[in-house]
Amino acid sequence: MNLTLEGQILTPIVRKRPEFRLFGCQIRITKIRRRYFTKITASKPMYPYAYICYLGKIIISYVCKTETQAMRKLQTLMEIEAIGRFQSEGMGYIQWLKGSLKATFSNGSDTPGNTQRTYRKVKIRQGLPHNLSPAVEEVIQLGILHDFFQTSKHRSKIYVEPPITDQILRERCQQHHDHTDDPVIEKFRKYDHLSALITRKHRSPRLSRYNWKSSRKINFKQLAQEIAEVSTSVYKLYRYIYESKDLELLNESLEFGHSSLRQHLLILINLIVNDYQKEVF
Amino acid sequence: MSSKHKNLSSQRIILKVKCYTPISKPLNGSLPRSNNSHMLRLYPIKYQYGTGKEKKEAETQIYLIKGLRGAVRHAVMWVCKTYGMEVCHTTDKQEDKSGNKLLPAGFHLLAACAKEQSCIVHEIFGSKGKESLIAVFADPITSVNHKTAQFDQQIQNVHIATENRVNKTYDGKTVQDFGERYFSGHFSFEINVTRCSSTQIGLLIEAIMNIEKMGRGYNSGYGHVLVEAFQLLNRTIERKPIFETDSGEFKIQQIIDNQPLKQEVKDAMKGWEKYRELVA
Ligand SMILES: [Zn+2]
Repeated sequence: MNLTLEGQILTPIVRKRPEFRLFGCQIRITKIRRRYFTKITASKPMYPYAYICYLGKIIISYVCKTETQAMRKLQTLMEIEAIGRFQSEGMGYIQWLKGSLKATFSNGSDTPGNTQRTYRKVKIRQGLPHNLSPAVEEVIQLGILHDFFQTSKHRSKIYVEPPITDQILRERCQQHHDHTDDPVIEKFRKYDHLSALITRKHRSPRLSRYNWKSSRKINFKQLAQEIAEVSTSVYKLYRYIYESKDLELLNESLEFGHSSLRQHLLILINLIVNDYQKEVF
Repeated sequence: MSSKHKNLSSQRIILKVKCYTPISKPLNGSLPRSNNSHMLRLYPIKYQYGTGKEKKEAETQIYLIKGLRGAVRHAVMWVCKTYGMEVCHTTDKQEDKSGNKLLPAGFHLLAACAKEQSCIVHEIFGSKGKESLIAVFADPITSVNHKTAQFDQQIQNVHIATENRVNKTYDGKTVQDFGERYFSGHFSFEINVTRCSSTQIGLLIEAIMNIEKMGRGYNSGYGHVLVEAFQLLNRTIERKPIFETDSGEFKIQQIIDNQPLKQEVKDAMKGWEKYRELVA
C-alpha cells in the first residue's frame, strides 16, 4: 500500500534540505518559499546565526504491505503537530489537509516508472588521474586559479594575486565573471556554479575572507608566491590545493562564512574529472 | 528521531495568554545589504470581506511573532530571582571576548546546574541536549482594514507598519537612515504545558502575569506588553480521514474541543507557592 499525506506548513520548518526521511517515511516540501530564521546568542550579540527554513506544502509518503498497517501509520502521522528544529519557539507547525491510500506497483512506487532520487557525495581525489587531455587541463588550471585574481565581482580571495607570467591564463582568470566567447571560460562556469551550490550551506555574513573556523593569521604574499611556483603543472597545483592548510581557513563567499575555499576548489575539479571520465565533458 | 514521538497525543494542556502591546518589534535579523529590519514573513493568504451577497476577495501578508518564548523565559527568570532562587541564565559564558560581563548576579551559567540537581528553569526550558518541556505558539498576525474580513485559518488582525528612523550626528548631519517593522494591538499566544508538572505550571502562570517586555528596544519605549487575561485549557484534537470515493483519496477532518480548567490553576499556584517556600 502507498500512503500519502499532504499538509500546509503554517510556520517555517527549520531543516537543511526540503527532502528528508523521518518516522520511516519519505518527506518532501513542495511549492517552496525559502526563509531565514535568525538566532542571537548572548555571547555574540552582533552576529545573528541564520538557519534556513521552508514554507510550502508538505507531502509524506509511506510504503507498507497491508491496509491495517497503513491505517495505523496514518493515525500516528496525523497526530504530528510540528517538524524540524525550534518547535518550542513555534517553528515547523503543520496543518494536515488530505491524503490518499493506494495499492502500489510491484516496484514499490506509486507509478511504474517513478524511481527514487539518490544523492551521491562528490568523492575528493588525492591526486589527478594521469590520462587527462590538454583541453581538460586548461579548464582545470582555470578552475584552480580563478578565485585568486581580481574580477569585476570580487577582489582576489587570497588578497594577493599570484605573480603568474602566462598572460592568457591571467586574463581568463580576471574575466571569469564577464560575458565572453571564450569556450574555456564557458565550460568552466557551469562547474563553478555547481560547486558553489554544493558548498554554500548556511548563510552567515563575514567581513573578512577568514571563515569561522580560522584561528590564525595567514601570510598571503607567501601563499600567492607558492601558488605561482606550482602553477605550470595541473598535477602539482592540485596536490598543493589538496595539502594546503591555509585555504581551509578562508571562505569561498563573504555571505557564507562557514564555507571553505579549499573545499570549493577540490569539488570543482573533481566534478570536472568525473564528467571527463564519464565522457560527458 | 523517536524522541519526538512523545508529543503525539490527542490531549494537551494549553496555557492561553491574551495581551496588548502599544508597539512591539519582534524582528528577524535584517537581510544582507538592506537598511530595513523585518518581521519573519510567512506567505500571502486570501480573505473575504463585505456584507452583501457578493463577497469580495483580497490578499494579505501574514507574519510570525518571534521571541515569545524568550519573553516568557525572561519573565520566569526574574520571578525566580525575586524569590531568591538561583536559576539558569541564557548565557553559557562568563564574559565575551572584550571582557564585558554577561552573567548578572543571582544567576548561574546555562546548564551549570545539570550535573547535580537541575534548577526549575533548566527543567522547563532545557539547554543543548536537553529538550524543552514547553512549546510557545502564536497564530500569525496580519494587518487588514476591512472590518468584515473573514479568514480560512486562524489569523490575528493587528496594526503593522514601518517606522523610519534616522541616525544623526550632533550637528544634524544624517549618518544613516533605517526602517523597522512594528506591530500594535491585541494578540494572544499559547504555551503547551502538557509535559509540565503542576508546580511548573504554577511558576509559568506567575511569570506570564509579570511579562513586561518582548522584542527590540525596550529601553527606548518599545515592546511593552500588558497581559490582560489567561486561561488554562484542556484541548482535545481529533483528526479523522474522511474517504470520499473509492479512489483512495481522503480529506482530514479536525475537531477541536477546549475545556477550561479552573481547579487546576488554583492547585498549580498553590504547588508553586509551596515549592518556592521550600527552596528559598
Ligand atoms: Zn540552572
